[in-house]
Amino acid sequence: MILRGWRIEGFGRFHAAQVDDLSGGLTVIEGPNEAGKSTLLGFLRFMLFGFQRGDSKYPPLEGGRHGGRLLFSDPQGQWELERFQGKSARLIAPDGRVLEEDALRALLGRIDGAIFKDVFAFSLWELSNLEALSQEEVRDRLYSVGLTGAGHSASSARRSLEQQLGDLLKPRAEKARINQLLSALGETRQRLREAQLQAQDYAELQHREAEAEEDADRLQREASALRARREFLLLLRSIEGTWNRLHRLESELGRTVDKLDPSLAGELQDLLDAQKARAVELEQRRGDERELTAQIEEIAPPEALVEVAPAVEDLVRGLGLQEDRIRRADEADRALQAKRGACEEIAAKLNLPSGAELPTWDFTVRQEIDDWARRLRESDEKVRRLSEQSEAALRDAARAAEDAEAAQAALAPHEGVADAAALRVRLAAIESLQRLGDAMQRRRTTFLGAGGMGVALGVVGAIGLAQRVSSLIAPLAVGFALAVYAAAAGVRAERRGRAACRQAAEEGGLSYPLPEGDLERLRREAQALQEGAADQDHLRQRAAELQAKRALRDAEAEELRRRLAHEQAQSLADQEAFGAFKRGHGLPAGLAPELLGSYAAELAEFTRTRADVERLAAEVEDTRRGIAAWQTKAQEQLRGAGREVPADPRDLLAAVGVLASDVANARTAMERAADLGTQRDGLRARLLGIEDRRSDADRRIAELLSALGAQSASEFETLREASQLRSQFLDQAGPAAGELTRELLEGDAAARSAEAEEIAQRLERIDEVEHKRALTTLLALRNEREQVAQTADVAEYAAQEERLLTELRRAVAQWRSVFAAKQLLDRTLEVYERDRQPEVLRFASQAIGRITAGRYTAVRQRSDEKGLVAVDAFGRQLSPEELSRGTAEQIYLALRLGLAASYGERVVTLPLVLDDVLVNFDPDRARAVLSVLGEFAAEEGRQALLFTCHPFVREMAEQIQGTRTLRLPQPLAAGEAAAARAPGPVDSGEGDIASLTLSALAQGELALRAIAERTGAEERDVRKQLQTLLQEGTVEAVGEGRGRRYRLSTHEGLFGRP
Amino acid sequence: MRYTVVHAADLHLDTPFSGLGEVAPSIAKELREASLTAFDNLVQLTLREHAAILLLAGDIYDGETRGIRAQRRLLQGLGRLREAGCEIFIVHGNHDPLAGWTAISDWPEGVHVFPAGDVTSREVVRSGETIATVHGVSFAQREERENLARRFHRRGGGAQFGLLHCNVGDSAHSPYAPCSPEDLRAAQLDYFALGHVHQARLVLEGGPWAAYSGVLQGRSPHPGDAGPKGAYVLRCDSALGLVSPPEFVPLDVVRFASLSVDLTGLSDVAAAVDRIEERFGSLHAAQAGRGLVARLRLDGEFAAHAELAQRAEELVEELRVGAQGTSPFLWLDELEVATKPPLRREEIAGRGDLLAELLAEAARIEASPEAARAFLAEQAQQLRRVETQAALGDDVDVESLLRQAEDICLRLLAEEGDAR
Repeated sequence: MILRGWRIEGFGRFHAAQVDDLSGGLTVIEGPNEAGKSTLLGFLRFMLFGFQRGDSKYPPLEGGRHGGRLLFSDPQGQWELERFQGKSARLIAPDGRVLEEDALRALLGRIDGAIFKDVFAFSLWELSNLEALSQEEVRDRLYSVGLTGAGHSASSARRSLEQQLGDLLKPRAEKARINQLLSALGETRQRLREAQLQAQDYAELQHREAEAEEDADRLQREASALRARREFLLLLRSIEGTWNRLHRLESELGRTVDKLDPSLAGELQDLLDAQKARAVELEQRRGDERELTAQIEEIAPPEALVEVAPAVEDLVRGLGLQEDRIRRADEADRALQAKRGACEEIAAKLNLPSGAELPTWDFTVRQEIDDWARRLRESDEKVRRLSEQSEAALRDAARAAEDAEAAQAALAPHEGVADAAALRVRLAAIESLQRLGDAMQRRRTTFLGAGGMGVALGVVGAIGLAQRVSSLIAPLAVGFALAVYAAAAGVRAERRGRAACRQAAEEGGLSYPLPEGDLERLRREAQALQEGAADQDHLRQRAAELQAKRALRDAEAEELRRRLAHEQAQSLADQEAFGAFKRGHGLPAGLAPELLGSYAAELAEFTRTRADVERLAAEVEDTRRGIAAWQTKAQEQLRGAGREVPADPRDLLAAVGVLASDVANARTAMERAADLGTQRDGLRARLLGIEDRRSDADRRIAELLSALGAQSASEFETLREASQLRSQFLDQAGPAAGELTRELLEGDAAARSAEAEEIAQRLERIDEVEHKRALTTLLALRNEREQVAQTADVAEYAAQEERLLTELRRAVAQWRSVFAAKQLLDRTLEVYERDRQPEVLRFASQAIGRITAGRYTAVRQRSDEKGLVAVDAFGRQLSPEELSRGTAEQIYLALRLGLAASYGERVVTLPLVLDDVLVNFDPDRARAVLSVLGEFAAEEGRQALLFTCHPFVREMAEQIQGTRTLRLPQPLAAGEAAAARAPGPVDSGEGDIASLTLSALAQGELALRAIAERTGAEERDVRKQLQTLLQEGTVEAVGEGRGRRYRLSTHEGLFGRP
Repeated sequence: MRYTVVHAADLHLDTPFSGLGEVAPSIAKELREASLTAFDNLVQLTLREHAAILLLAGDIYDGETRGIRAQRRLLQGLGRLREAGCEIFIVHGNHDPLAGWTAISDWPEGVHVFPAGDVTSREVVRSGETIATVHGVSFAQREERENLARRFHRRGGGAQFGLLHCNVGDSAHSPYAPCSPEDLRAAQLDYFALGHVHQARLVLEGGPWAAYSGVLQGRSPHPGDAGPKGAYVLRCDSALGLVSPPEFVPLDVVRFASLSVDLTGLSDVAAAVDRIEERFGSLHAAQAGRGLVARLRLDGEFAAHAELAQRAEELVEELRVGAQGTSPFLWLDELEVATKPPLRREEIAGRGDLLAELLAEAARIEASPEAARAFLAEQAQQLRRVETQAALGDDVDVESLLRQAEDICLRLLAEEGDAR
């Protein structure tokens, strides 16, 4: 990249300043102090990178917009960069495209602004400042230029990684994550071990608890046994007297009871038991017998019923029949009444006199009636048919009359029309005329002009119009017209034609000549008339036919009328003959022959019904007799049984029913009483048997009592019960009683008292001491075990350990990643430096050799790789601190040239801008530097701008081939400088102040105020800077207080020092 | 007679979860209770099914230390089952061999713990009928290398059940009591209730049946412990054995899941958070009322890769806060940022700058085993103290380590403009 020029709108003291003739190679720009060299450097940096942190802002002092344009070129062509404070840069490409900041950065190889400031565009301050930076940063700047393609530097990345690693793991730090986790893990594991040990105790505790529990139980059991023993002893003491007496009595009882002969006693007991059972049975049987007797008495029936019983049972057998008879008699009565009614009804209908002889019927009469019926039917049919035919004939005659009259009426309009023959003649005439007319026309067309025909037509038209009054004279007009035509065509032909026409007209009864145009009309009229005449003929013929038909119809109607009258008379005669027949056979006069069949049926029905009436009457009579006979018998029996006799037959039936039921009951009762009587007899026999056996037993009992020495049975039973109780007692309480007896009779009462006392003491000890202690032990062990269960939470600590281990693994994995990143970065930097460093150092070594005229031969990396050393002609290695300021600066300048060259080769070539960097160099070395610089910049595509305030530097440079010089205008007037200084927020960076101060002092001794004026900075800033420079020995002070002045202390680097 | 049997194994009662980092205290409590709650669920299931028999196929506690709390809880649960008339059969496995101490001095009547050594058999009688015979054998010590399955034979009345903690030809698990499916088949039992393998699966199907019921509660976020955990319910007939295939019933209370979210096409971290939360929510909803511990991996080509990697911890915190208060709980255990920047490594490699040099250096290390060893040795030197104390011993994968390192360097050195 080559800077071609700039247009400053407003930047520090520059306003509308313009340079546009810069080129590649070395250009020395000379300007006195305050001419704006540093401002220009600031402007170039600002244009390419904007303001960086700590940069002076150079607000426009002379007006104009803060910023401007920069012109430069590269192999692609001319570029123009525009930048104003607070706005983004605009880059106009060679092809005119407007690009943004990013394109600019790409064009600059993405170099960082700070690195540009350090390597490519630096002032004396930056040049010497490099020395003060930390070794690492030096290395970073020297070898990592462009490493990252801009953005974050490798060293800041390393720092970040180290920071992260330190946060994760540090040898003796407590706050690092892994350290914390390790510590927590250790603690958790300790707790886990303790909990596990405690848990192991659990089983032992459990065992001891079981033992303690057993101990307590054993004591409790012992106490229970002792208490029981003590209670027994106390009991013995209390029952002693009673027991002794009881024992004596028991012994006596034993003796008495033992005397009883068991077999006799057993037999007696059995007998007594049997007697008791017998007594109970006897009592029971007697009760049964009494009950039977009462029952028999209770169910015995009355005498009267017993007597009538057979007759009543006989009656009862006929009871159903009687009921049936009564029911049938009523039904037969009702049927008889109904039949009689029906009989009378038929008789009335047939009009039979009561008791009269009924007509008799045979086949011949029936046949005759049928014949009559057929004859009458046929006669009627004939009359009806004739009557219909006669009516139809009358209707036909009337219709024929109507038709004949209508035909006559239709004929009327045609009266007076010429007859058809005359019409035919006229039509023939018209057709002849037409043909003649046509022939004449053809001739006329051949010979006459149109005008002649028009005149002829006009004449014909006029005549035709005059003669149109009558259709009969119209043909004459036609003829006339044709005659005119003929005259016009040719006299001979015309005349001949006209004669023919006249003749034709006359034949047709037409006048000639005919009016023009009427010929066709006449023809149509004649045709119509001809057709009308044909119709009239037809109508007339039709009327005659109809008239004949009418006469025929009238004759037919008359004939029918006559035949009908005859038939009607015949029918009347038949009717009268049939009436005579009916009278002769006793049939009702009004009876129609066809009704005779049903009449005969009704008559037969009447005969049957009358027979039914007679049969039913006989049946009713018979039934009534049966009823009366049974009733008589029933009444007798009722009276015999002393019962009331009802009059009503139905009540009688009911009374007999009741009586029959009573009789049946009496019958059952008698049978039951007989059964009971049998039972009672059996019972009585058994009673006698029992009483016999009782008597026998009583005798044997008396014998046995006597043998056993008992006064009575009750005495014997008392003895026996005592014996049983004693055996029972001896069975149940024998051992205990024996023991009691032994204790009480044989034991020592004093010893018992002593034992009771001893037991009491032992019990007290158990209750008060031993059991309590055992329980306390048990409780304590149980508590302890529970405690262990609660606190020995192995699982909780194990879970915690697991969690911590997982966290630790994760933290270690993270540490590994970060550490690996650092390893990788370190190795890469190492490789990078190894590859790049020789190139840069080689360049720097050559340069320093030339600059120092061989005094120093090389620049190398220190053996410990921490910094650089210069190697002198004697092979000695000197660190920058061991060199003079100027030499150190020359070495740094040489290194920068190497870096710029390296960057140019690898990335992009950028212009070098050096602001008064030769201040500390002696003339020889300054010249050498200019030479080296000139050669550096002379290479294709390179450019170096050297700002200086020293004319001799320019002069030196002018001696170097290809070097251009440029002069900046004179500084501002004092007033303008003050204005520039006073109001603006001149944010002068420290670096700038230092370099400006040194630049100012390079001209000679100056007071503080003068330095401040020349640098354009605040006095206090300058004072502060001077103090630093004094301390490092760059500047020395002359005088004290207000008159104090400052000057540069170095001798080597002063140009033109007085 | 028809009856029901429940088969569970590997209860690992009161066992800590492994491979899980720090969790919120409330969730730690739930996790702490998880194995015990799952056991309570097993008791509930057995009661609900009115099961006649409960088979527990080993590893009831974890480790020989056998937590007291676990044993007490076990005893309580078995007591409830006994009250309901269920008979319980237990064998011990490699995690709880008979040799360990026990806080249970007396098992309740009706709880049968099979001894080690020979297979012993016990009949189950209901209403005078022998409905089943259960055969079993326990581990005497942790490392049981004998083929115990060969000691089983059909004998006694009713349906025949074998109870065994063993490894049926599964190389992924410790080879304790190794045996083959043929050994199981040869015993001619109706059903082998197996323990040891943590994933439920049928080993033999039809007649005879053999199954691992798996753990009752997943124990770590590792893939093997993901998915539903529970027990098998067996419908049996005293004469016919199993009348239908075993029915698996999930009983776990906490699930583990790994979730991969592709951020390709998203423009910023906020959009990524939205997508993650959405996926997270649906994963949580799919757990049917169980707590969820999830591991999240973000991948795909993501525009804000660098920012995401830098803010990973912040993002974890944000997602955890977002999930706070959900019931049942949702916990993000780990976040892996595996997204790639849109910037291609190949492009960087072609630039010839420091980053290109860095990638080349990584490739050199990766290509040379010696260089890789030296690279890791440097780390090991630093970590010596930590390794000793924490017994980490994780195998380090050089390749992935280098990728992570490259990633960190790219993030630190590449400018924002490069990442676009």
